[in-house]
Amino acid sequence: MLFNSFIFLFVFLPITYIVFWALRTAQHRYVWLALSGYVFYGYWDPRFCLLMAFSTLVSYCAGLSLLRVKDAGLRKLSLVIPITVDLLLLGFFKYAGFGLRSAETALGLVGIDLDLPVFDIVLPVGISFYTFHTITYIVDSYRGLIKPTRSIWEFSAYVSLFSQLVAGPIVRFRQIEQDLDNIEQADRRRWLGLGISFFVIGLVQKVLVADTLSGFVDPAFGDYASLSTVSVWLLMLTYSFQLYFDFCGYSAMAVGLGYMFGLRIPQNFNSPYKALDPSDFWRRWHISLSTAMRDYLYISFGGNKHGISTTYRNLMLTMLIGGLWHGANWTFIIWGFYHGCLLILYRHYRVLWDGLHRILRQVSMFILVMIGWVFFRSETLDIASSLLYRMFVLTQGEQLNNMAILLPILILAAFWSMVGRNPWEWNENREWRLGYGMVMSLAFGSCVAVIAGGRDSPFLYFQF
Amino acid sequence: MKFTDLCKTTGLVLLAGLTSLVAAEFTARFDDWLFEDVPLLASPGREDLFTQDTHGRRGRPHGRYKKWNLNSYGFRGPEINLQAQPGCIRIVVIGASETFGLYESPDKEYPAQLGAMLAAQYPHTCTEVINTAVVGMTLGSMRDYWKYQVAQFRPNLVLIYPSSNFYLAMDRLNKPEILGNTGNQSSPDRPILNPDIQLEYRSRFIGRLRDVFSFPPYIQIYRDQITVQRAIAAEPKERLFSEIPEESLEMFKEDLTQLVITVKESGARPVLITHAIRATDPPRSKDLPDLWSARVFIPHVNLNVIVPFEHAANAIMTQVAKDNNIQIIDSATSLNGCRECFGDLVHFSDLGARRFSSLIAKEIDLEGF
Repeated sequence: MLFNSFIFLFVFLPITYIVFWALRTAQHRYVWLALSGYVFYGYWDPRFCLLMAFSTLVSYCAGLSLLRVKDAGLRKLSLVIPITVDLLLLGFFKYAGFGLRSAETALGLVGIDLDLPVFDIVLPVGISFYTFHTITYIVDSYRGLIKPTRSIWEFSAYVSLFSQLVAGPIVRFRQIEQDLDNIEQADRRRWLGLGISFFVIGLVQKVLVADTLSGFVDPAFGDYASLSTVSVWLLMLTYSFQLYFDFCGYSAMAVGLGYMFGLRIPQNFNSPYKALDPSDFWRRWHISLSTAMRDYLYISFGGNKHGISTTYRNLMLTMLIGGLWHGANWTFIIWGFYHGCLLILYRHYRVLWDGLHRILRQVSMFILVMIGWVFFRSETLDIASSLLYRMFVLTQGEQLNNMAILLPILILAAFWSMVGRNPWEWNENREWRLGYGMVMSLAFGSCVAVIAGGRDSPFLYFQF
Repeated sequence: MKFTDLCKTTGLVLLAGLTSLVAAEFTARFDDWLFEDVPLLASPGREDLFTQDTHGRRGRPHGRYKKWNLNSYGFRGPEINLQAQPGCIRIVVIGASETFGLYESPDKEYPAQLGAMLAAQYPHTCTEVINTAVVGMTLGSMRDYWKYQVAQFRPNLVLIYPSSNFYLAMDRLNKPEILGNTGNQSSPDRPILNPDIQLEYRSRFIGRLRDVFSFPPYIQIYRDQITVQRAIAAEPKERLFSEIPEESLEMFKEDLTQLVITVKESGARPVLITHAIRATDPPRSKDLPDLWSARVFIPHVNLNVIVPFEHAANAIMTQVAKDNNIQIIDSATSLNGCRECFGDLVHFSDLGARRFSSLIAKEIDLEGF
């Protein structure tokens, strides 16, 4: 079920919302949130629910075990076993095919021809996200940062919370633990206005901006080999905005939905195209992932405590794993490597870079990020290298279609993402008045009309 | 909650809903204007793709509506020249909505797929497939359509895929009306998308909703049954029949034979294709929604007549092909009952159009051109 679909907007959400607030006890609300999460998730394929239920159960038991066991060895086992199970599931569904293909190619290069079996495994939607949720829960329980819950329904509500189930933000249990505990006392009226505001702004970003841009991006990528140099740059510019508005829109909707149900989901995007350097970019882009990678990978590797070269190694390892987390493809690994290099270079030449004019840094950073998106969007390395060749070697070719429509949209998108306010800034100290309500109604009506026109594409991050 | 608060909240919700509706209507129009060149004040529909003149119904030159684009001759597909390229085998496909394409994605309607398949199958032979189909065209009106609109393109081969189910709507009482083909008229002088003469207001937002919304099958059957009952109530009893109407089959045979003879006389080689449907014989329970939807257009026909009539009409096609010594391709045997091949009882899905065109590409005889 997509947030930008009629079934969600006019059936699922109203029913879930009304029943949720009609229920009085925390336990009932947990049960309802958990069940609605499974309905939401099972709408894609009911079989996936079993997998999520299994992962939830394993992590819940691990939490209980960590709550009761004091012995260090047993606690370590309670940490390692469930994480291994979660990672094995993720590895099988997401990386098995990629691993076998890569092994086959590698062996082929050294002259060993093997015909390994080809697995045609359906990737369960959002498996990377809910696996991350369960792992962070177990690690935080082990580190003593949270007290594991005894309520299976509370934990299920956390894992299967439909607002952040399939594409994040990666919400750690400790971030919404307090809200979950106080769910009985949540003030519906207080949160509803804020929730609607976030949700509608997110819907506008997704439906009106990202999906409109996708109408230009997808056909152009399908015919990338015929594009000129200017067209490829324009294509990547368009894709950069599409990706941002798609994912930022999804995150804002998730936050809005969280507020509607009395849960404060943390900010996931802070105008990343306003970033002035690579570190700044990762503090602004997919914040929940980058902070999770910092806390659970980078710091676990040793962080920056053991000298420059170890710090660089840790940075690179973290970014490589981050790239691989996005998808089982060498393009994502190279994308991670590229950002690892940017972070290392920035650390090395920080003084030089920071001495540049602010606008020059922002524009340069944006261009560097845009080049990185070539790997992120390309299905194969051949496509990525062909696009990069066309970007940097003057090539004759076709123009993008409907430039007269695309250019004004690009200007608006650039303004909003590089100068304008993001949904979190927009809602800071927001007071609902009649005028604002009408603006929200206008925006919602416009989105519904576009969705009805057939532009209800899935979110780009669902594939991860 | 106090009464005044309740009134205030209700008023605000209604105001918000109304504002959303106004925004939705404006956005639908703006979106169409931006991406489809539809003037803001126009209210186009699929019927704007067609026109009617003294020779009958035909596609409107340069007609455009949603995914359907007609060329300067009013045919769905790319621009063509009046004269075929020398040495090129020109194939014309003539039919109704099944051939024109309703549910298929753009360029996935079977004539378009057939063109691509033939090009791949005969890389050293030039072939050209022209889709001349018109939605709602009956066999009876195809002869005039052939004479006045299609024959001028001098095709080598003419694929005829008639909608035999039209003849279930024709009995002796109804024949003159159908043969005159007066349904769904629009003025030939009315240029498409001219806002000046669009006096009728049609909400484009609601039009969009209709396109995406469909009732669950059991509700749809109920709605269709009500529609049929209402229509039957207005019908004379002698029009209601529960057996295959023999006179309709005779008309079908007569019209088909005449069309075949006319095409042959003009020097082209006709090829008949039997009519495929989604239902099996006897129909399965899952076929019922499609049959009821079809019956809305032929309310006086008992449900258990529809599929046998299709079989009888296909048998007549085989007979006509034999009598006139022309090729017939049996798509019904290959596709009947394939649920994923159709969007409803008779109209193809992308997959159905692919299988159908692949069958034609395999069977078609291009020898002698």
